[in-house]
Amino acid sequence: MRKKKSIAWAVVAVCGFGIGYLAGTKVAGLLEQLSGLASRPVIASHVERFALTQYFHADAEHARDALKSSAILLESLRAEGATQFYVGQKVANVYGRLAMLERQAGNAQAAQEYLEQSKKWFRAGGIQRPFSDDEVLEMIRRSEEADRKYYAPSTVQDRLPEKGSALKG
Amino acid sequence: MNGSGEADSRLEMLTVFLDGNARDLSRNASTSDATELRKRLLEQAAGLDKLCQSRTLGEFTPMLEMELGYRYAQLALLDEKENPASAGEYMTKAEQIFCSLGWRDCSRARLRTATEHRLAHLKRFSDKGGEQ
Repeated sequence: MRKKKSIAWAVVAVCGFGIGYLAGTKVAGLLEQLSGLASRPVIASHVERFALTQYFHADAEHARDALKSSAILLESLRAEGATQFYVGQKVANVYGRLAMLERQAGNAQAAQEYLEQSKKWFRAGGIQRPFSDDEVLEMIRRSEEADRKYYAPSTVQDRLPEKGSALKG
Repeated sequence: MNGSGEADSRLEMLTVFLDGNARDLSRNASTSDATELRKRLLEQAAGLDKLCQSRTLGEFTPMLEMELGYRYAQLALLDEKENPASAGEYMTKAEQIFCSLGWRDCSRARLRTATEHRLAHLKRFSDKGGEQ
């Protein structure tokens, strides 16, 4: 009788630990998932800030490197759901600045390629319609004017194209 | 490990770093005690410096260097009234970092403006209860 009781207690204890362990693991996983989802926009925001700071303050070579590595990092975040729009806009913005940079350096082909990437990410960010080059440039122009107030209120050269002009030519 | 695996691992490490860095910046922005803030900034600068020297993050190292430069510039602003000598040393370190990052103007006046802008921005978001 005593032996049966001991076995029963052992079974209960093992099951109890097992259930506790599984529940704990599940909760920890959920918390990790939640914290990951929460941190993506924050990370994206920091990466974009680094890229734009370099865009406004650094020479073309350093600005280009910063924008490229930021685009790689932002793309790697693989945002989903609600954060997809937010991160998508950041990637589109970074590619837009690369297009501006290459345009200013006289690299028309590279500028056009980055402009296409920018369009692709605007669409991935949730804007489901085709864009003309001028429309995207106008969006980048507005964003650049707003960013300048924060990043470089009283400085540096202008990388904006003439209003209404496409990158080509 | 192949090239792509190394790049993925660097991206993962950088993501973890940026996550922690965002929390540090948020805590710094909400700290009003200068002694406590100086202590935190020095600890963060030491950690960042070590990470930059190791070049573990390869092509992403400039992101860390910029963070380190801003920490030194903030230390300089913090010390400028009570300890101008140490403030000057911190600002020199910041200048060296921003010049190496290719800034066209890495004068003290420019760094001061850029740092003050950034701190004001971080403070606004910290007051709102979030980083962004």
